[in-house]
Amino acid sequence: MKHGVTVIIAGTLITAAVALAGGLPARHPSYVELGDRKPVCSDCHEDEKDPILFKRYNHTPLFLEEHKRLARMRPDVCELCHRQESCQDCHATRTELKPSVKRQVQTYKRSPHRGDYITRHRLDARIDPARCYRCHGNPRRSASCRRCH
Amino acid sequence: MKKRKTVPILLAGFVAAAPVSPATAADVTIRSETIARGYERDSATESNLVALPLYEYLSVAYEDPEGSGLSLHAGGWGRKNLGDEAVFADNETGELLYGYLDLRRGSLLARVGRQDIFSGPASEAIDGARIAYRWRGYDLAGFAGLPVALEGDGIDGDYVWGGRMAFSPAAEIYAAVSYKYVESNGHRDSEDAAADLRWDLPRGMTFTGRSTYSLKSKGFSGHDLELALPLQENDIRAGFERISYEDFFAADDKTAAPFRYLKDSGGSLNIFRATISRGSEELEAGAALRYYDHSDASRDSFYGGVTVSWHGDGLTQTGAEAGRMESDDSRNSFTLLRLFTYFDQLETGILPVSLSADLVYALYDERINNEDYSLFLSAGAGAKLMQEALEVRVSIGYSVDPYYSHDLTSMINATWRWQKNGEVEE
Repeated sequence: MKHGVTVIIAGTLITAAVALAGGLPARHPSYVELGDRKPVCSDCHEDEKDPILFKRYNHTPLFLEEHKRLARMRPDVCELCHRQESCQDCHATRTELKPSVKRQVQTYKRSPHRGDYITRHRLDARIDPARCYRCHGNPRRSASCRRCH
Repeated sequence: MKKRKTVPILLAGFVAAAPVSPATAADVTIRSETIARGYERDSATESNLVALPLYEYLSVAYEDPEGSGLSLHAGGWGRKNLGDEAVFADNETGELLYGYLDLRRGSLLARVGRQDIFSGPASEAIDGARIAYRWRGYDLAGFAGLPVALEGDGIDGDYVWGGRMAFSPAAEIYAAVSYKYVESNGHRDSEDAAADLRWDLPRGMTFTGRSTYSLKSKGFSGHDLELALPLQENDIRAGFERISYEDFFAADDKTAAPFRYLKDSGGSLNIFRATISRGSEELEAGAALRYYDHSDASRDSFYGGVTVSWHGDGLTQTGAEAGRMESDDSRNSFTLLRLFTYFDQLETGILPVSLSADLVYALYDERINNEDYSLFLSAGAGAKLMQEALEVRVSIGYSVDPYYSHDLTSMINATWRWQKNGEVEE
């Protein structure tokens, strides 16, 4: 409980603070129609002198593999268009449904677990166990491992 | 076990301190996704148990983008099984995944509540607070709270905190240092520091790198370096990743069994990778190569894969992926093929429908449970109703693989979205 009180005080102080400077906007301007398709950020943000190199955020065919590096470096850029709800679609490892099941119909979305991953995970894990551990390493997230292991 | 009361307390504290803003345009969004599944499973003692889980994923967002900078976001899930309860045994039946208040004022971001932290060495869900602030070219961020992942054995003696400071010593360089500390039951669970760098080079090339150091085991747990080279319409990347098992993995009683022995194995893994991708309005293609260099040479492996997809109107897409994993240990070698299609809003004369199909085929070099392949097929259809506020999708899946001789699953998914844009009444 002591920690909770500490955090309440911190939150109160934060909320009371006023800071005004030129950061990123909270949301991508709504007057720009992003559409349903995967965005190509550099179609509009083409200035390579921009402090944020938006070209790196283009949702290329292999963006699924790339996005972790960008999200850890500048999560505020991701949040221009995505809220944590978007992350939870795949990274909610505290749920039962794996993303490839929950999004089975949305076949245009890539997912590392599509198909029979129960069999394939043994092979992937022997080759690169760190990739599994990043999501399934901690006690809550490894609940799905413990059922069999 | 103590019940977690922190989230509502934090939310109450934050709301109490939030400045009262005049009435402005407000956005309220409620999204409900109800999923009903049906399939059969065997348990250790019983066969042909029927699973009929009914899931509800509910999320709420309130945003006031033109006014106070305050927004509220919450989402969670719950499950009720209408079939044999033994299928789910002791599984959790629901959870609040996130629930936080956001305050944005210029370059200040303050967030309080249950939230995910992706920053430097941190990839955590916490009940706590995060503040980020841009000051004279410095991006400063800090977080503190209770680690959600460790609440299973009680929350006494648990906490997590960390931060990140990024800066640009030159226009083309963006560098950061970050830190994370996790305490579990009064003991240090993990303590990591990381440094990352983005360096914009001539000809549009970009170098990014990140190194993470475990202050607990006193060694580098990982390095990840990448060079991006744009070449005309192609995006080419070459990368290297190194993982030291002793410093990367944990080996306490909370660690899942498959990972527990890795820490003491003294192993390491180097991954060399190269990707190329290009895209246009109609066609996208990519290729990836990865070489896995293990300290245990018998596990060295090479992966090569390609993906190509054709795009039509909206989300319409048809594509294929193919890959081959070639390992020195033939148990790990396999060939993978995926074909998929999605037709968005096809006109049928009654109402537009979406159709989808998926095929995933894996061929294993060594038999697993006397089978050398897995085949998964799915087909689905969906329609949007009520001015697109409600989307209903039905799908079936069928798998033949080393674990299931014939596994048929069905799913109905109803997603309802309600949004209100208007004036808030004081």
